[in-house]
Amino acid sequence: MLDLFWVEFKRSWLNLRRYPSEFVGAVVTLSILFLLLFLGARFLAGPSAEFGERTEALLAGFLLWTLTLFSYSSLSFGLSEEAQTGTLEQVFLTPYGPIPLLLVRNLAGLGTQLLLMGSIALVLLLITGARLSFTPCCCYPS
Amino acid sequence: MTAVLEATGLHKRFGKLVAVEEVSLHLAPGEVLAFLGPNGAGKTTTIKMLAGLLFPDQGQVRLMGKDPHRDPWALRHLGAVLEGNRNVYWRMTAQENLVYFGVARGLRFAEASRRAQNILEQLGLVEKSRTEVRHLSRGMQQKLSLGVALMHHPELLLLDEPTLGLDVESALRVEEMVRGLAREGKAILLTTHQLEVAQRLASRLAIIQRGKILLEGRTTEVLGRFAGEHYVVELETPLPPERLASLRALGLEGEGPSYVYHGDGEGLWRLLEALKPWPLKKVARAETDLLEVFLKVVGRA
Repeated sequence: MLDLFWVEFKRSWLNLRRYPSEFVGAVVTLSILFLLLFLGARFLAGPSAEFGERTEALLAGFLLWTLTLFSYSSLSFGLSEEAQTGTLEQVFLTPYGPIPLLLVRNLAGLGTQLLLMGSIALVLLLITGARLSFTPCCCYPS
Repeated sequence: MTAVLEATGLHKRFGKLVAVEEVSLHLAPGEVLAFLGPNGAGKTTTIKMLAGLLFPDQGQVRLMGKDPHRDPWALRHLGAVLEGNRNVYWRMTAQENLVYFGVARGLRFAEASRRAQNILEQLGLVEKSRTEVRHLSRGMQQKLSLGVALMHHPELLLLDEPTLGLDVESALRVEEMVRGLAREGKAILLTTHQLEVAQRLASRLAIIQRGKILLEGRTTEVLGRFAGEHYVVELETPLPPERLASLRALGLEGEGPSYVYHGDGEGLWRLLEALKPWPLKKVARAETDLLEVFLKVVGRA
């Protein structure tokens, strides 16, 4: 299974490295989406609205929401993409069984998704001037 | 000889449509079985059931004695090149695809890397090992698909239209590879609409239509059976009409100088006696080809 994880990780990393425009496109699109939400909220709340420290909370919430959405949708999106490109049957011919393979694929894909989230966070921190500070310990499950 | 593949009494229904009915197939090591049929006959449904991709409503499949529907590790014995599918990832190189699918089929990473190198050498793709699949020609992609199917040393290969869309040279190379694999002892189930390819490669054939197997047997025996009692009688010059009219009664057909005789050996000798002293060029038993057999079987059904 470790070998399977490694080849899946390598596969998603190669896709990312060979097609950087897709990565940049995702960063730009999601950053614009956040800004539209952010500016839209300010427009609705009126010119006197001041988000103050809530910008950081909004940003952290947006990033987590996007990561969760990506993790959930990547499986169904991946399956429909495999069906379209004609590799689905080959994936299902694995002796590990399709469900374990797809779970390993999702786990391995988390690495590239975290990289995407990190890039979006950097762009948005620069644009909005917000600052996020947290200790690495908060990543450990309690 | 132990069967590599043993499928018995397969049934599959999609709503009211009976796709496959009472299909049984078996394959021994080194055998090439051509599984033929018109579009919509049930070939792909059968293949998907054999590969564990589709559950049969009734019947069972055994790959080296194991049921792929209950024990996924039975799939270690199976490699497949499926028609209409890319079978490989276009964004990865030939070598990366081989290693990925090798590991996905149960090999360790180091073993898959070694095996990928061997396969690339066998397929003559070493120079293209670092080329992304989308930049390879169709023939190379097809060879790579075959390589992916062979990565984990399967005993059974399911090849769905392996030469479709290939140029003559590439198709002949793939044919030679299939022959070589059969010589190595792989059992191969080949589905194709290219009947001349099937005739050249298959040691046995099965024809399916409307979900039922209409004909199964050794290729040479089937061809012999369908050739029947026909002889080609070729003369140096055509017979005059009055002479031909008298010989028609003995079973001679066609317009000269090449005629066909329908009948048994005894009747042929009577005809030859009657032809005397007209100069003969050739007398031979008429041969049939798989296309003719296929059309007769499917047409009769």
